[in-house]
Amino acid sequence: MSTRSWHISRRTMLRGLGAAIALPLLDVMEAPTLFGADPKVVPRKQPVRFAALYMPNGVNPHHWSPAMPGPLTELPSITAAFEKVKSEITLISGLCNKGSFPLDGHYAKVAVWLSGTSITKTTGADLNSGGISADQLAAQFLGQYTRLPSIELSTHNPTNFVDNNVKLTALYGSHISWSTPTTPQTRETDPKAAFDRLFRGQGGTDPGAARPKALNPWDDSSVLDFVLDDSAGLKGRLGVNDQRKLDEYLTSVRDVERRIQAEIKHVKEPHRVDPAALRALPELGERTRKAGGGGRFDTPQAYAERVRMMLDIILLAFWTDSTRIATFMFGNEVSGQNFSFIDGVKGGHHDMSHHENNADKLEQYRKIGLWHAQQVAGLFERMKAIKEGKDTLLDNSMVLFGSGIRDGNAHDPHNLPIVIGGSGGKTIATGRHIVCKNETPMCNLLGDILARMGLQVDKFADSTGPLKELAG
Amino acid sequence: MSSARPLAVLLWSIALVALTTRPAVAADGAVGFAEMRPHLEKYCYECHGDKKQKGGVNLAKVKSFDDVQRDPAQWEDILQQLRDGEMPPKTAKEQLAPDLRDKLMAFVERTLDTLDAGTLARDPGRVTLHRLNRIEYNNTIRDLLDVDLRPADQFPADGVGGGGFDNNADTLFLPPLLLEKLVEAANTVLAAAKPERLAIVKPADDKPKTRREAARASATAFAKRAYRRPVAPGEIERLLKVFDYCEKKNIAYDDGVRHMLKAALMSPSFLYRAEEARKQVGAFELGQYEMAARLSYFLWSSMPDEALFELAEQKKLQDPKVIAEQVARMLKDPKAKALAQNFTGQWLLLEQLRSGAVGPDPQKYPEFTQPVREALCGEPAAFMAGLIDGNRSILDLIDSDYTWMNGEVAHWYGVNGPSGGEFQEVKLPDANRGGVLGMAAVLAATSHPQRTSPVLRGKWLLAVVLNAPTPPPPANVAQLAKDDGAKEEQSLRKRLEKHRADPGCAGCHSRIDPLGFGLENFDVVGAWRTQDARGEAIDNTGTLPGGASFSGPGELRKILLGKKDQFTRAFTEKMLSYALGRGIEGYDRQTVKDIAQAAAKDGYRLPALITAIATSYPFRNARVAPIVPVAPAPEPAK
Repeated sequence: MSTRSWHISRRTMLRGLGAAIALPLLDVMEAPTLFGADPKVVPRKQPVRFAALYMPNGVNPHHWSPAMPGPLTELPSITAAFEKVKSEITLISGLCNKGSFPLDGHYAKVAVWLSGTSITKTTGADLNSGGISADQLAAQFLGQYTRLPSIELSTHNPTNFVDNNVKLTALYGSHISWSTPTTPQTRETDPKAAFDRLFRGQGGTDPGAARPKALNPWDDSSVLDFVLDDSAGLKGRLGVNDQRKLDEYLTSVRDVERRIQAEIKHVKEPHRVDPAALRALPELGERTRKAGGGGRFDTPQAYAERVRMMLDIILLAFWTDSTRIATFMFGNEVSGQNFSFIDGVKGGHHDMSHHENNADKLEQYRKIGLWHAQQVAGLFERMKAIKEGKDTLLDNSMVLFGSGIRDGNAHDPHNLPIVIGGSGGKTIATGRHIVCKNETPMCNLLGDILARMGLQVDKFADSTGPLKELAG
Repeated sequence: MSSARPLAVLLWSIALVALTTRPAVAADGAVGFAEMRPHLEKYCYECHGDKKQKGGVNLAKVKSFDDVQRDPAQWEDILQQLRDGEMPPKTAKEQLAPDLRDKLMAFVERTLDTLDAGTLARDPGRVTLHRLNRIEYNNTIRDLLDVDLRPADQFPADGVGGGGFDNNADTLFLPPLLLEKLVEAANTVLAAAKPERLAIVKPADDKPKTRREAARASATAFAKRAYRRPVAPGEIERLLKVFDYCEKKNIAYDDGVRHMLKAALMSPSFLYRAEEARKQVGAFELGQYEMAARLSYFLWSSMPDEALFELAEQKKLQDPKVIAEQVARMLKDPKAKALAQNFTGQWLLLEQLRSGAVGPDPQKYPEFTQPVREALCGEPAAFMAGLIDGNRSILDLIDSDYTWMNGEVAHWYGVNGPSGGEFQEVKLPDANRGGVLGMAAVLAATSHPQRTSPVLRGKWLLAVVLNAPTPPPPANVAQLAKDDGAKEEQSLRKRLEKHRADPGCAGCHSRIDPLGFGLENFDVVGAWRTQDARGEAIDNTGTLPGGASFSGPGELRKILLGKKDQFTRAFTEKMLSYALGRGIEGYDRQTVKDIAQAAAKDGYRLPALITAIATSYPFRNARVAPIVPVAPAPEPAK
């Protein structure tokens, strides 16, 4: 219920932005790069970033959690992937989203992973996640400080399927980020497009060469003003659901206008970006260009490379402070992604997750979970290598990694597999395994994350209070 | 066909009028109810009786057939729950045997059939402001600007909802990510369009006023087509503000007009389909231009052409005869390929295979390359297009002695057939294949990467072909191999037989598995085989819960042909959902039956079915708010 008050705040904020949008005449885009010609790293308090990385289909439950709470010593074989960064991570057991219990199957557990709510059972007409997700809530307040409020990435297009067995659209299983309870955030699945969106002119290509020459590349203000104007004319003739659709469009228009302002601001003030980050950009840009489009046919090996690129894009987005909030889905829930590129794995992810306690399938399921953990561990290691003053990029981040179910075989929504990399600006006592009382709301953790992002949230969805153990 | 429907309606109304007075119906219902009541008592009363009324439902109160008829909405709901296997819940002591479930469903269905339509408010369903999806955007730009750049291929993929289609209005969003790409797309296509296609009116002189008037003429001509309806002067004035902005910046006249047209391509009136003012209460007949758009986006996935605009202007597009003529004309247009292409793959659940999200393991099946995958996914679409072009029966989708192949597909099947990329009709050499069940794309999409799955195939067949989906397995059963150390050596059939011995599994798997085993002769990539991976002969026999036995895909298809009316209704639901851009609801039952019946009367021909959809009540009417029952609801207590 607490989400309702957030909505009002958000509207107010958008109105505030709307007023600012109309002002400047966008003539300042002369500088050759988005970050200014002579970037300097100015010492300052580094912002805290938040990413959530979603693994579909749960995890082999026997190889994830250490036996005992306390300092991380010996790790089970999946989380052992974090060995090199184990002093920088926190494993948390005992969390769950009770709101995800009522509906059987996979999808109900995904859409609410970051919102702690309950979805509405529908094939589409009443699509509703029950609440805004934590990342989007953060983006709505912190987005004004960066060029993009948040980024949402995946490797697969949304699953084209309505499950008539459970009367649910697979859209629920394809989105963890919801900007409103009725608006899933569309994910970019093409690494090149994701890269270009963030870094055009910085190793990314700018497709917008077709404008009238006398207008600068960002001058769409008159067009966007027109859209706002024109929509107002249409709105009065529409029904309630139509108006919601139109509102969604107008929110997007305002977001893009806001982004244009942010881009201009970044050119005006030579941005304080680590030159090393700028040097790293062209290489990643080249990789994304080679990879080709997302969401299309590719080999399992190409899938693995796309995952790495997406994680690197998040890293560079954080490093350059282009956004402070990101979500990524390794795949949609019930993903049948073929993992046969892993030695000893002979099938699709979902098939293996229904291991039926068969030792051979359990082992393949373990290996798939391990592969996911290794990708995330690699990201943590790279983030740890990046200095931000005395700290590291990883120190200044909270990267949540896990799933909406534990043992995929039973669609078990208890004791979710959850790990956090980074200490949120040295506010989390890392290197430990925290064991919460069974059925502790995941929203307690999400509330803590929001607090570390600077949002004062008394209660987030079904949270019952902070996870005190987090601070040590 | 266009005359069949009014006749059906007429007969229907006569039947309804007769209902209250014709004792035979009531007597029949009373007998049926007497037969059903003990079952309700046994399976339902525990939670929905005098002691407990879970969900506020008390079936013990239903004492006669009259009581049943009094609350059709409740029985609609009960029918759905029975169909979904949701009731009785899996935790209940008494579980319904499948044949009894079928019997109960048949009774409820018969009852609903005999109900007076007057008690069920007629409901055309809600339409939501419909954003052009990727394909519609591409095609609309193509027909508007004569630019075939397919810019929307770069847009984020649209999700699906309703009947499982990506043109479902409620699940089409317009996030900032897409908006950014729409701006780029508008730039690109306007730069590529030929000046004559943009109809830019040149000013006679360089006076600001003359230039503005010429810009106005340009905007007026363009917006009418872009918005797919007549445009109000206020809308043109809004567009001219963008031109004014460019004039202030001393931008060349053509560039300024182009920038203004870009605004038109960003207008909600272009990006969304909402042509008429919506009446806020009750059902309303769609306006002429909205009908033109409904027809063109259903059959072409694109904007209306001049002929449709003209008929809209003459206000002829609510005339069933005119609609039928237009459907016939439009289906002959090459643009109608869009229907076969966009509907078929999504109906058959092939999109995950096509996109590469699932599919045969590339190491085990290296020959299943991307061109092969695309060609095989093209086969069902070409087949469907063949039904439209050849005015053929949809029953061919179940069983046929032909299919459509291009060079790649023919090579894949090892058939001496066509070469090159064009699909052609090919006579099948034997009865192993035929209809969609013999198509490699379907067989691959319903397999695991390295092995076939009779369960996946059976489930697919029930859900797609018969619209009788099975509920998900209860949590934590499916312990298929728990007690069996030698499971890998056992054949899949034996393992599944063991599985079915579990009463928690038998209910559904006795329906699912036999169907799948009927297709075991097809391997992961749809190739014919007589031995499995371990060298044992394929056992392709099966017995369905009703007792029918078969051996191999040929006989299985004959059994399915016996369920042709169930299939026709299943198919109708899907295509109606695609046509309307929304899911099918309980109140659509009669429409679906009418359409299926109209098709059956015309030899199950696909064009007849399409015409029946285009002339149906929900296709021509809409509402925005829920239909309010005739009797006013009591004021809620404060």
